[in-house]
Amino acid sequence: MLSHIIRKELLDQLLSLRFAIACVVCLVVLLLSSIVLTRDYREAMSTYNMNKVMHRNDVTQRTGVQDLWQGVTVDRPLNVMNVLVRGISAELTESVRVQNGNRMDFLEVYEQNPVVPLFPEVDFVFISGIIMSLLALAFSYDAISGERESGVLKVVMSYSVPRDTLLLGKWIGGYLALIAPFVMSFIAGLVVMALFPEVEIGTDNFLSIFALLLLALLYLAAIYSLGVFVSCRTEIASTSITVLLLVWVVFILAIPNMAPYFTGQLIPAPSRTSIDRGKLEVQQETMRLRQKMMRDEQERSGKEDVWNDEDFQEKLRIFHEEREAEAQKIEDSFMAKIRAQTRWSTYIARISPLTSFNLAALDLAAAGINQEVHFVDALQEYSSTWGSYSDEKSKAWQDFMKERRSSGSRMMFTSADMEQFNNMDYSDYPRFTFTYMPFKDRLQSVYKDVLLLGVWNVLFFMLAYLSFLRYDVR
Amino acid sequence: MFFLTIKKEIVHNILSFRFIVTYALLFCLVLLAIFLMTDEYGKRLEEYNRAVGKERQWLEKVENMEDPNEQFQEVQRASFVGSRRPKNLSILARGLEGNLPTQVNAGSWGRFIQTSEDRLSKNMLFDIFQTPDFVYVINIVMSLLALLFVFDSVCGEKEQGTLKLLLSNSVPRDIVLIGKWIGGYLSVIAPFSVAALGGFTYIYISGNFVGSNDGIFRFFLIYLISLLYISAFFTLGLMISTLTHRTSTALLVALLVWICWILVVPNLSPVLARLIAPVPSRQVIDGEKQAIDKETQLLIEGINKRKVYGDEAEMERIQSAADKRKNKLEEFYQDRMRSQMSLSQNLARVSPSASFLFATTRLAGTGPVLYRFFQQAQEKFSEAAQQFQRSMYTQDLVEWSPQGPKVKDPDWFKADNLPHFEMFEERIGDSFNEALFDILLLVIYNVLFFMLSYTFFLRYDAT
Repeated sequence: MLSHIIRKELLDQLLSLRFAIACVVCLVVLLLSSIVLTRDYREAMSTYNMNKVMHRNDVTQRTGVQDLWQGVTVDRPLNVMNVLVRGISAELTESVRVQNGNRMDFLEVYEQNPVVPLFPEVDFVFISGIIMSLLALAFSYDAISGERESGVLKVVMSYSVPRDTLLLGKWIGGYLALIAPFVMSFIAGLVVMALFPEVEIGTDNFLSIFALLLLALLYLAAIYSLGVFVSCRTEIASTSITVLLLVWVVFILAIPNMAPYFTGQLIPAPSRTSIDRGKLEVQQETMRLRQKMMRDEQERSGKEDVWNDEDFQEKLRIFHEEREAEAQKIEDSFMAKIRAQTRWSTYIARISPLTSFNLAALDLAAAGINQEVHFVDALQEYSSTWGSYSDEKSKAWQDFMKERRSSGSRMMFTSADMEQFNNMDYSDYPRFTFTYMPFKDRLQSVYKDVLLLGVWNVLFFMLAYLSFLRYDVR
Repeated sequence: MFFLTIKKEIVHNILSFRFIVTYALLFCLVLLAIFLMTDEYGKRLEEYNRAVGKERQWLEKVENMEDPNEQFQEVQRASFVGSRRPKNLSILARGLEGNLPTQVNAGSWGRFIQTSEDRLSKNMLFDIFQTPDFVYVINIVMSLLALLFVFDSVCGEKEQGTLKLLLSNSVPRDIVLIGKWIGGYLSVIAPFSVAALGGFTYIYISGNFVGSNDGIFRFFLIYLISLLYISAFFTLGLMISTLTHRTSTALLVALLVWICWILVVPNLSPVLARLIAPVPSRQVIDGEKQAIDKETQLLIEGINKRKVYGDEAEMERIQSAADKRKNKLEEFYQDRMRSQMSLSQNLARVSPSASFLFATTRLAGTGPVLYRFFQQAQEKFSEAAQQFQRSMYTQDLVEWSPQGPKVKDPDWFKADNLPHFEMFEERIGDSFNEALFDILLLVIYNVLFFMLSYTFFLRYDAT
């Protein structure tokens, strides 16, 4: 009987206008998005290759020892998953200037097309999260209430078919009809991507794409179940769609977008500028106190060169450590607030299944928050590698300076002195390598959201089942 | 009969379930959006005031310095930082307000550095989701609700058989259609207007319109444009209803049109424009400029090695040729960027949603024009700072001694001469003029949809 119901539901949906609409929307939007994003990726690839060569030449053509202090500009390798998921980075390519001591400068130029930031990107996450969720509601709103209105439900229930089988059959049939055009269009989009030779999908990314599709199907199942649930709670299809659209507005448009702002109210955090200002004040105060300490020491000892005194040096060291700890305390308390804000806004936003889907999809595509942290970590690691390299390269120079200082000679250098330091070879400088998180790590980071989507599915289906058990089919 | 039709439509809508739900939802969403955005604006304004206060404190400190030499050294050491004042209407339309830096260093010349701390020390959920401001609620939610209100106004009545009854009276079809339009539209905008009034009251009470009526007028204009936009979608829904004979079909068609017009067309247009009119990246242009500089340097070095009489003129010629090439490159970049921007705007305008967004952000001062004003202000600021610093050395202001600079004129320092970062504030009339094209487009959409609904309704089979 179950297979009969599934077949009936599937045929009903396949012959309906909404199926035709879903086919057109899915095919047009997914194909267009694939073409546009893949071509964008191709453009970014050429920019990335050019930047890489330019930045490499910039280092290898340097000859002076002092050029080392400029640091090195590195480029973030392109993420092939960006052809599906654009992620949180504003641009596909990014150059970062890395210097000693974990100093990283991300160059930002406000000369882009200003229309771009006004609109969100139409990528796989947007299509599945917003457009497909709306279509899922359009497929499910009249699953029960519509059949009740047309009288079909009464006829079906007059047969010896249990209600759970009927509901399950309707769910499976309707869901299959919903995902069929989506999956087909997704595959067509992948074929389009494969036509571009620049898009090289490795095993990890292939698995991620597959996982992305499964995630989208899970999310759509949750929304579809919600539609069936509301349909079981109402008697007229028009009431059902009204309620569903309002629920959609609240859960898909309002809650996720408002959650970060709402959390900002609950857990206020100062701005980065004011924190930097606070730290600068601590630094200025440190300088002032240091000078005062020096003067006091000079007065006390009656000597000018107090900095050669070991006890005083120790005192200064302890003083600096204390002041640095104070500045660090400001930074730590700020970061703790930001982390709390992010954590709570994620919790609140997760009231909506869209948040779970978005966060998981971004992490699966290695284009989300975790990846951002991973990239900065890699840059920090590279900063210390570069630091060791520049220390090694400038060792002779440091020794030369030390010797000059200890001999008490003037710090004036002749061209003969500088010759050895102006003919340096930097062709062996360490190259920046960055690999995106492996598939296993990506999966580990998304399991909570996947679980949550599973819970939404079970919850909505159970509620639909309970409502349908008491549903008046007349 | 006309008023009876309007009354019937209003009563029918008011007594419906969707009216109550829409009323509650709109009221909550509009108020919540305004409440959250007002708070967020308040924080940015506070930050701005703090930065300006610090600047003023520093100025006072410098002015009160008794020793002009020390004063000179303090100004010499200073790095000029300007603060960008947040736009008060960003409460309604955030636009690009959050995409630009709030602090501008005079020495940056358009390059802004973000450190790793800046990058990670923010709630990254802001980057994942959109800003839920008033304009967003109208653009997305209100357009959907307008369609939801009207999709069954003609075909629904046909299904129930009431249309047949209505038309059996001596009432012309145009009167029925206009009556339905007015009655339905009034029931849609009533909850919206109440919510907007609530929002306005909150903004007013929180003191964000204090000082001038400019903000109030702009709010009112944004409200009127919102009404026009809602009307466009309402009329579109009416057209769909007159085109179809079943409510389920009307609903699906309306949803399809909404998805295409609100979610697909405007969002795809910037990317399409990027592909049709590509612009090389800033890094590529800078790389080319660096190559020109290097080439020029090599040529000049070669001349220096030859040391022949008359080579100075040659060197100047090479330098000016290089400058010309660099200027040409910059012009090429700016031209391409402008054409891409205008293409993306025009492509997006196929959807009324984009016209609405462009018009409201223009009035709020947070649209694409904000980038241009920001760049102009920043260039002016950098130039002024450079000029000021140069004037400190070229105006024969100081005498240099081993003990440091000695200022000749003790009253040399004038706070007004210091560079200030000031962004151009467009007058309300100018903003309206600039937004007029998009407003006109919205009017055209309204007229077009109504004319089409009228044509379809004249031939509509009511039986």
